[in-house]
Parts: sequence; structure tokens; C-alpha cells
Amino acid sequence: MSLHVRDIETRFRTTAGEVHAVNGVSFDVGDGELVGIVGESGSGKSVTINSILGLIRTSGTITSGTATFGGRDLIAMRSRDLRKIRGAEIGFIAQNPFGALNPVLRLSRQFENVVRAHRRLDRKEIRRQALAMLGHVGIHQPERVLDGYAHELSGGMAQRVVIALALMLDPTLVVADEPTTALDVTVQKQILDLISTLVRERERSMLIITHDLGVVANYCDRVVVMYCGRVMEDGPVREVFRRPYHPYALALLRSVPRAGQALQTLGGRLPKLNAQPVGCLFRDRCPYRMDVCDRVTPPLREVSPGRKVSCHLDVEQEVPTLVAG
Amino acid sequence: MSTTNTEAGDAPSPASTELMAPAVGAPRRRRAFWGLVAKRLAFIPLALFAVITISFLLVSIMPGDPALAILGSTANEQEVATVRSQLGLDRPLAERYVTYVGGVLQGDFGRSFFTGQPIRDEIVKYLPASIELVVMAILLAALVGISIGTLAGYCRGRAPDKAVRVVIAGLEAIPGFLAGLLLIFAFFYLWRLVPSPTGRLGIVNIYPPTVTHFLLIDLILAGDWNGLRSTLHRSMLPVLTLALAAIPLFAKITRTTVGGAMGSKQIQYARACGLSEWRVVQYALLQARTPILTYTAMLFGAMVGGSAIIETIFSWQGLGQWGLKAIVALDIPAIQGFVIVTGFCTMLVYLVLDLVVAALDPRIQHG
Repeated sequence: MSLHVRDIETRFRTTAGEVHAVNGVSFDVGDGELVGIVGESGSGKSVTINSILGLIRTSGTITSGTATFGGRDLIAMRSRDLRKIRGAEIGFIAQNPFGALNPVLRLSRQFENVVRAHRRLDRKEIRRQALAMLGHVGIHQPERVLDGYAHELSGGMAQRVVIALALMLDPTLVVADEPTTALDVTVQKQILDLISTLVRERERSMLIITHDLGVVANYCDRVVVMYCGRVMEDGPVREVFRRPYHPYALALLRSVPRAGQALQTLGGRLPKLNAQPVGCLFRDRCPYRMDVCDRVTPPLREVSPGRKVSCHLDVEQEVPTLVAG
Repeated sequence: MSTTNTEAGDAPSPASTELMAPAVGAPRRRRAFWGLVAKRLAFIPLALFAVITISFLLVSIMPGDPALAILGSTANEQEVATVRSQLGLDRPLAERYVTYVGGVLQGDFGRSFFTGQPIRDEIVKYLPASIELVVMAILLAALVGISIGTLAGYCRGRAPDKAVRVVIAGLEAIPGFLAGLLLIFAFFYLWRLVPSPTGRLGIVNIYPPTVTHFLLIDLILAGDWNGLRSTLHRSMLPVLTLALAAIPLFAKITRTTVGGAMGSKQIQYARACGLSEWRVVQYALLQARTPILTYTAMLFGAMVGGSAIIETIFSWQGLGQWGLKAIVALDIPAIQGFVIVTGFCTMLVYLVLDLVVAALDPRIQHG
């Protein structure tokens, strides 16, 4: 099922004042589409996802926006109804399986708890389905895993269990929050291959949050580049990677290490988001800064079919291509 | 069992390396657990010996002469010397120590300087009453404290949390003896809702035949339901008084641990899976379980023997009240017996705590 996110704004009350973590984020995840959200740490990726799923802690509030999923607005929905969608219609893959899984409950109990939160099934049936699902995610001895605890598993195995839990109720959308950052590099590819294969096989949609451009390049159809709680650029992966329009997207792509080349880094750091931000948030680090960038927040506009960018520049003319840079 | 980072499940290697052999893991864990039990039990005599020695030495260097305390200030030197020799106090410390330890090993704690009764009999008489009081108080305090602590931790920063914090601060500000006296004043003197705070049974009730020395259990064994009702009625205020002191401790530790758990990745994931809020609270309490149990054990250790004032106010005839009397009267064998018994109780409770925690948490490695 498709997800349409429009103008989400989320703020947190902290001891240091109000933090505007997400400042009007919009994007779409179409049917059967794999979308990657990329951005630095603190760019609001996770907060955006948590806002959509109703997982914002009490110190945070969603001040505006909609997230339409199968015709229903997840933001406006009562928390009780949203709970029934989470886990059943939207599967969630956590970043660190050992932080997510319950350490003192047998995995069979955790499968039961998740399934029973949504369906009336007896224990035997849940066990049968869980064993089948563990087989699908490449666990060879599902009986043993199911009767054991999370800490008895390797990182890759534990993440497979989390994937199995996410897919147990056959969700139409899978949300993965940095699904491989906590894993060994050698395991990362296996897990990503597994997730994307399972999602594509079932013709489901997926939203992957990552700071790894390689993940986006290899597994996603479309990429959403976020910075300071705003979408900077949104477009098909192949096109954005070949010719990024936004200076920030360009800088991100240039900072990917390449063999035989000196690593290009982006100077400066994320601005503080204590007040309602005005103007372009990237301006302090942007080599193309203009007067207008200080005053006017650039809207996310469609520059060519399927490609959106929020920048005052005439991006097709003025932003250099990756190769020329 | 340690985690392994090898992704053997994906390699073409035999599937048996997939896990750290969980098939043999369960029996091994069980064996390791009983090994832990044996090890901890073996440690008890050693610790007990240390408690006996320290209590003996501490009591020996206490100021004051027990002979003078017995005879009163009018006694002459001759009389004092006679009594000292009767009590064995004229012999060297080392000799007295050996005699005492030898006695304790045979279950003989000596006789009270004042009543002449064997200390062992007095302990057997008074300890069960204290245990009954403390167990009832801790159960009540745990029930109330963990409930309001969970509520506060779950609603952290919001109105219920603030209300609970006010209650905690209020209860902490009232000393136990004052709470006891206020409760007696209100519930007995003003409203006549409970019987007078004079012991555990009414005058009309007859003590049941002694079987276990635990009054409640003996009453049940004797089938004396009237007596049981009377005892429980008379237990209400002392139990409440003692519980009031323990409720803030339970509430605070629960509030902190549950509150911390609510912000954890584990709880966020549980919610992302669509688990109900009841289940989410259950997960948070599972995380809070070990710290709460630890607190319970510490409280229990402190309360057996530590509730002397409450026991005195309500004439409970418990170990604390007996120990307090012994200290005031310089009844050395009684003081030593009191210290050893309370120390032993604390040790036992901590032992049980360690074993329960080890049995509950699958991650703890035994051995």
C-alpha cells in the first residue's frame, strides 16, 4: 500500500528549549516501491519515521502534517487504531536487534506476543507460522532459535529474527530504520539482500532509513535526501546519483570514498534548530549561497518529472555535475 | 553462553555451528545454576563465622558493666565481683570467645543475664513474630509502591507522575514512629476502627498450641478462625505503619527503572510491533524486575530487627523489641544472639535474591 507524507513538523521540548527536529517533510512511497531516506545523523530521518508510526515520546509533538496510508491519515488517527496498523500492516525492522528484542523472553513468546496483538490464533498455529517464517529468512534450525533467547544468536541471526517478526503478519509496507548499522560489514549485504528480496517477492513497499549511500544505490528505487528535518532532494536513485540537483546531495555523493581519490568532505556542521527555521537550512555550508537563501525557505518543487528539489538555484544550470566537480 | 559474531548460518558450513549449541545449553545452564547454589551455600558458614566473631568483639568492647546494670548503682565492689564471676566476665576475652563459639556451634547462645532463659528459646519465640510483621509489611508496600511507581514511570513528567512524587515526598518526610502514633490516634482513639495496640491477640482469645512459632500459621493449624481474624485485625496498623516507610522506596526504584525502560529501544520496538500498552508496561516491568527484587531483599534485611520502634509502639513482641530491650539492659548474650540472628536472616535473604535473579535472567552466566 502506498504512503503519502505531507508537511510533517515535529518538535521536542528539551531542557535547552524547543528543538524543531522535523520541519515540513513530504515524500511518497508508491506501491511496490523501495524508497531510501538518507541524511546525516540528526537530520530528522528517524524522527520522521517515528512521527508517522506514532512512536514519538512524550516530550515531542507533531504540530502539523498528514501521512496517508491506504486512505487513512496515520497522524490524525487515534493511537489505539494506529497500534493495530503497526506490526500488522506496517512491519518494522529495528536498527539493533539486541536492543530491540526482549532479552528475558523466549523468542517463541515474542512471536506469540506480536501475532496475538493483532490476530486470534492459538499457540500451535503461531509456532507453525513462525517456524515457516524463520525458514524464509534463512535460519536453518528454526526450532532451536524459537526455543532460545536473543543473546544466544549472532548479530546477523538476531536481525533475521527481527525481519521474520516484521514480516509475520504480511505487512504491505516495511519500515527499516538503519537495518544494518549495528551489524558486521560482512553480514550487512546478506541482510539487505534478504530484506529487499523478501519485499520485492511479495510486491510490498519499503522505506529504508540509512546514512549509507551505497545501500540506497544498490537496493532502492527512489531516494529522499534529508537535511535538518527537511527534504532537500527527492528522485529516482539512478538519476539523482548521476546528476544531483541540490548542492547538499552533490556534497553527500562527493563524500563517498572512492579508491584512488582523495576523500572530499563537507565542512561545517548542522545548524541548531532551536527556533522556527527561516530560509534555507543548508546555506551556511553551501558554496552557492545567495541573499534570498537567508530570507526565503525554498519550497520543495518539481523540476523534472519525478524529481523534486528545494533550492533557489536554477539547479539544472547552476549546480555542477558530479563528474565535473 | 556468549554471543558469537560469526554468521555461520549463511556460510555453507554445517548448520550445527549456527548457534552456540543451544540443545546442550539448557541442561548446562541448569547444572551451572545448581553449581551456583552449592557455591553460595558453602559460603554461608564462613560469613556466619565472621558475623559471630564481629558481634562478639563489638559487644565485648561496649562501654558499661553488665554486673552493675544487674545489681544497680547501690551494689558494693564485693557483690559486683561475685556477679561478674558468675557471668564469666572475669575470664580472659580469648577464653570467653572460644567458649561462646563452641556453644553457638552446638546451638547454645548462652542464657539471658536477666531472665535466665536460654537465648535460643527467646529467639525462637520472638523471631517468627518479626518475620510475620515484615513479610506482611513488605507485601503491602510492594503492592502499593510498585503500582504507583509503575504509574509514575509510565506517565513520566505528566500529572500522575507529579502526584506520585508528592505522595513519595510526603511519606518520606514522616518518621515511622510518628506515623505509627498518628495512625493509633486516628484509627484507635478517634474512630475505634481497630483494637488497642497491645499485642497480637485480644484478651478473650487464647493462644493456639505452638507448632511453628508463627502465630498466623499456628492459628490456621489450630483452625481458630476467630483468633486469626483478631490477629489480622490487630496487624493492620503495625503493618500499615511499617509499609508506609517502605512504600516510597518501592515507588522510587520502580518509577526510575520503569521510566528508564519506557524510553528504551526495546519498548520502542515493542510499540512498533503494535503490542498493546498493557504488554508494553509488562515489558518495562520485566526490565525493572531485578532492581526491584534487589531492593526488596535489602529492605527485608533491614526490617527484621530494624523495626524495633514500631514493634515497641504496638507491643508486637518481636525480635526488634526484644533486641532493643537487651541493648538497653546490657544483656550481652541477648545482644550477641540478636546480631547473629539478624545477620543470618540478611544473609539468607541475599542468598535467595541472588538465586532468584540468576534463575530469572537467561543472560546471567552461572559459575
